[in-house]
Amino acid sequence: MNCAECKELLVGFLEGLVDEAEKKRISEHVKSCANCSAELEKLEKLHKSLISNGEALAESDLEAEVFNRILREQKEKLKTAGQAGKTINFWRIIMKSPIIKLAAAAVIIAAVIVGVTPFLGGTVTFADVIEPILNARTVVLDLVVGSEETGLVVHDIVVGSKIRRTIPNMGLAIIDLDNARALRLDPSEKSAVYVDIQGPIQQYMNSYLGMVRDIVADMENHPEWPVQELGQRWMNGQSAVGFLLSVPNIKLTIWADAETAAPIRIEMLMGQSQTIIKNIEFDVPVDESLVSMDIPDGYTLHEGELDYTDFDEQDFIIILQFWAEHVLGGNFPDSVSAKDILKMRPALRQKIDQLNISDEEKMQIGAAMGRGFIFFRQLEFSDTDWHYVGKGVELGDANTAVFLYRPEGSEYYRVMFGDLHIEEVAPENLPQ
Amino acid sequence: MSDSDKYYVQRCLDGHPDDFRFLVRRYQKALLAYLAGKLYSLEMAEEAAQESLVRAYFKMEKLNNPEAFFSWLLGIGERVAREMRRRKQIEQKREFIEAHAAQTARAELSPDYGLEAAVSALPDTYRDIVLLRYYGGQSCKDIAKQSGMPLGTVTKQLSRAYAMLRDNLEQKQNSNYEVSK
Repeated sequence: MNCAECKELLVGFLEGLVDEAEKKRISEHVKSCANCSAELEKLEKLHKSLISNGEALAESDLEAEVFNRILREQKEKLKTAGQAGKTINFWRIIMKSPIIKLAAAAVIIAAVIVGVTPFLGGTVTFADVIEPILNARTVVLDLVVGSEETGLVVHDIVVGSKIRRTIPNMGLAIIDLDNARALRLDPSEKSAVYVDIQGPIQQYMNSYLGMVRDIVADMENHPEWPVQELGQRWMNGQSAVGFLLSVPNIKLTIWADAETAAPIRIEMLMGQSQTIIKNIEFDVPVDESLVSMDIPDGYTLHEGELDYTDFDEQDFIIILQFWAEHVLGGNFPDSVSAKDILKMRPALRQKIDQLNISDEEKMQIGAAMGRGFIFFRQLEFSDTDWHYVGKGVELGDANTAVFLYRPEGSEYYRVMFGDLHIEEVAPENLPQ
Repeated sequence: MSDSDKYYVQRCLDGHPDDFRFLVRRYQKALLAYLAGKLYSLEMAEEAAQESLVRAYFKMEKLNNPEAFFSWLLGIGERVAREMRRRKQIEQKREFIEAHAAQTARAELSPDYGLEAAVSALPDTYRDIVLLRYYGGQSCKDIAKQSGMPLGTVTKQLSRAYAMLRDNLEQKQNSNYEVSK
């Protein structure tokens, strides 16, 4: 080995990147060459300095600080956006719209769009069971949000990336996931409005559809995620086999036809929210006009689009405030769930209509409530720790907590009190 | 690749702020070393690193090439450091330290961040490799995988970086020697 060759390999030698044979040759050369030996000594010194400085400097941990700041600034930005851009944008829409009924409908529009989860049920490992869920172009199904007896029933017709979603007595919406738009139709009023579902809400919806693929792909990396066989059971006149899949934050039970392996019932418990999918039919012929984004004949289109692109806790507070103040005579409700909010809707609609405020203001209340509903659904579906503790609390009570949750990534809880102020509280100081 | 920078950048842009943690964990130390080399103070470097990471998060959509996240982050770091330096007029301190560096026999180990300053002054490619290798806790193989460069290229660039670092440190010592003579 000559000096040039040796010098080229010295850093690799220090880094342990040369093979045994080369290592031996370098060592031998260095022993017999004063020049290269000095060179190695210098490099070694620098190498050691770099390593020890790296170790000395590496003790700081910025993560928590960085995240607290990001959360704080994000909130500020949302607030400013809400006060400046969003509101102005929204007012422009309102001014064009002769709508008042829409105000009360806003919660329902939000519910129709995000109130339910598109068949997440495709997450079993058993290829034959999940195959139709993954590959069917059309699916017709019923979804029950909440328990089987009292839950809200939703009927979905899925064609590719479009969904026609009907909720009895509440109307329907056509949802175009690819283009992040929804068309809400109210058959009783013969009215239609387009809804912009870009931004966080779109990601939220897409993530549900994408979840099937994600979880299946993820299962390969997580052999520890158990799939439990539940055996056979007689279900609705047919023999069914069941599987229980537990992934973080989600428990998924799939019952499939014991003969054809076609899924017949999917039960999903996600966070604190339960969904049941049943009456499932795959690849049935569907009239494509059912998922058309065009306005049907005889319908009147409201100008402008409803804006649900951003939402936060302030929107949710408006729901609680309005509920307590105008529907329950100053008391917070006994419980709060998506079902409760939707069931309160007729009373809400009536109360909004009775308010002595301008149409614009009514509209704004309605839209905020729609966004608040989305905010709440997001909490329900996530593994965020949240609790509603407002039973028996009076509106205006500054000392009693009503609602609390811990934002993703935060060490602190956000606690809302009876007078609607919010405090950031460390877990150990939470009110009992 | 589900743990690549590109993947996490995309996740952040898709509204999963929590995934920014992975990028913070991966690069905070290398960023800190870089900033210590620019600011000659660990305390200021920490402040600047925090600021840089927060800015990076909120400017993520402006990152054209997610694969170059680290270099882009250092670019933000550099601007933050410049602002801080201007604000606190640390140039004076820098001159003072450099003038007295000759008195410390081993400049690269002294607490004046002379070694980090030399690292920060390397051309970008070399700088990134040294920061990631020695401060970011990555092996040469990790760096090769992450950057898509062959391992041999990484080692060669590291050799070259060593040569430049030595030149820089020796030069500094010589000029300081002349100044103090």
